[in-house]
Amino acid sequence: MYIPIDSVIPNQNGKSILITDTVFADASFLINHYLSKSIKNKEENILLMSFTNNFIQYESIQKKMGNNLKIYKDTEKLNFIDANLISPSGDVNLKILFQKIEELLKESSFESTTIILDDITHLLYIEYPLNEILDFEYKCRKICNMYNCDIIVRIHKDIGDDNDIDPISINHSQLLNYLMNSYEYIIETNELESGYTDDIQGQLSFARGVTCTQFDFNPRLYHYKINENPAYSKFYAKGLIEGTV
Amino acid sequence: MNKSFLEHFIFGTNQELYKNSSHGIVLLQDTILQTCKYLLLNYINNRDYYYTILCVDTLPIYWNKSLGRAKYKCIEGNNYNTIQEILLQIKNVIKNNKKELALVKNVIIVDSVNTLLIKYSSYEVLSFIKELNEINKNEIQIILIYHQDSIINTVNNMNIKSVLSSMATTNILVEHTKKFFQNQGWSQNMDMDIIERNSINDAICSILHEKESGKMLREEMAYSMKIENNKPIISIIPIIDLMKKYIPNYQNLLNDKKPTKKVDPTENLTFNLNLTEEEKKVKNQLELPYFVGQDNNNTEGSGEIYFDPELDDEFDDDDPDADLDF
Repeated sequence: MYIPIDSVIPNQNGKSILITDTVFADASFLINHYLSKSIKNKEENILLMSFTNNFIQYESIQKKMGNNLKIYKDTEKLNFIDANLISPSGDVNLKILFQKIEELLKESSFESTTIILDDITHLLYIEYPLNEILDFEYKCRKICNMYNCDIIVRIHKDIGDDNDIDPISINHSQLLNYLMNSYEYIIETNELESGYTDDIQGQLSFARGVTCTQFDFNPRLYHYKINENPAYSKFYAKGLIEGTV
Repeated sequence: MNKSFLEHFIFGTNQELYKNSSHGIVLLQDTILQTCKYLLLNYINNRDYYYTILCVDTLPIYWNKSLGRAKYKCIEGNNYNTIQEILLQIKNVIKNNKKELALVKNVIIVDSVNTLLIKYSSYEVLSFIKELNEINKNEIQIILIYHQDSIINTVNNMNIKSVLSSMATTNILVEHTKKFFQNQGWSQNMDMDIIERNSINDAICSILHEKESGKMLREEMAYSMKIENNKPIISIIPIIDLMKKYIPNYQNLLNDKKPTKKVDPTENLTFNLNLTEEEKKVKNQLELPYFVGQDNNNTEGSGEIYFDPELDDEFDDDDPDADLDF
């Protein structure tokens, strides 16, 4: 777990977090961080819906973080929903997935639940109708609020140029804008402004979202270098590492 | 008393000056860097109206947490299949209010138009807005939240923002202070960190309001914000106060704005319209043959007309009015 960044976002239940990343500053480490945090919390269970990765990929990373996902899989503690084969007209579609989420939350005996959607950009790539994506996302956010659960959604920020006018790029821009205007906390990973360096992988920012009502939250900016062993991962306040802007 | 429109919009202080500002459509715009919601919350909490909020982006819980003692009802757009059903629901709420809270003014807030335009066609959304405006016209105010940075894709490439702006009586754009200064060219080197989005310190509003007379009012004002009991409270301030805060050499900018020299119209011509010193001397010495007062220092005239007939002129000494009998 990454202790330096754990205390940035207030520790209350029922919050919504949007994670945005880029090709050169991937935020998978954050997804694994929140997954690990929930696994280690005895009073919390987790619902992980993956649109791009399979269970083995999370399992191997979590092993290095000291968590054995095998013992939790298919138990109430860890609900993994494989949504890789999702399609608007197929057996796995957003309506079915939402029904699964609803059932799992209704039956949960844990004090709190964290729902992770990783990553929602995939729905745009397969040209899932945008209004159905928005409906699904809104319903997930609403049900999380009803059950006082945390919801974490990941979306890529850069899927093309700003000037692209193809339907996928336009839908992506609209979806990103919609999410940025609906979530309480926005975590972004970006490449370094000044270029590439071996010591730092990127920039990690915690910003206030439009719907944040916790006015004592302090936005933060870090430079980071992630190691397979979390104990060796580093987070620096911007400007405090020599030679890096 | 502060006569700014923004002050009136939030606090209702200048009703006489802005008579038509309490009805019609307000297009409340914001950007990805700065939300308009802090301004809107202050409007809601300062005006004793009844608010019907169409929630398409934010959940009702956000309004529950943010609104103090304001009277309001949230309608979730997601609960309805068509925009017509949403319209009917809003009309029912207004109708019920007329019965139970007859004296309370109604305000409809749409959060946000962008998402409505994704879910429904632009024609349906524009008709919806028009029909909202027709509900008890001149009594109801409609506030449309519009996110400026979101691309709206319309079938016929219609510039939807222009259409919405022209439908609105009042257009308000809320911008991040630093971004505003950068756009004005007042501070190219101003660093704006990604974590500064949705600042809870201040922001700048650009307003365009159509007065009752049809005259357009333009205004740029700022607000500063403080947090009291976990609620954002704004005060309207002039932009210069923020310039003092963020731009160290703001005085130079103000001085630059003042015109220091007259514009010379002959500056960029391809032909010469100027006179040399010698030409000016000759011009001043030129005697104008018909200008009698040129040498005469006595500027008072008798009113006498000097007529010098030419050879061809017919000069008749007789009084032309001699045949008049009065």
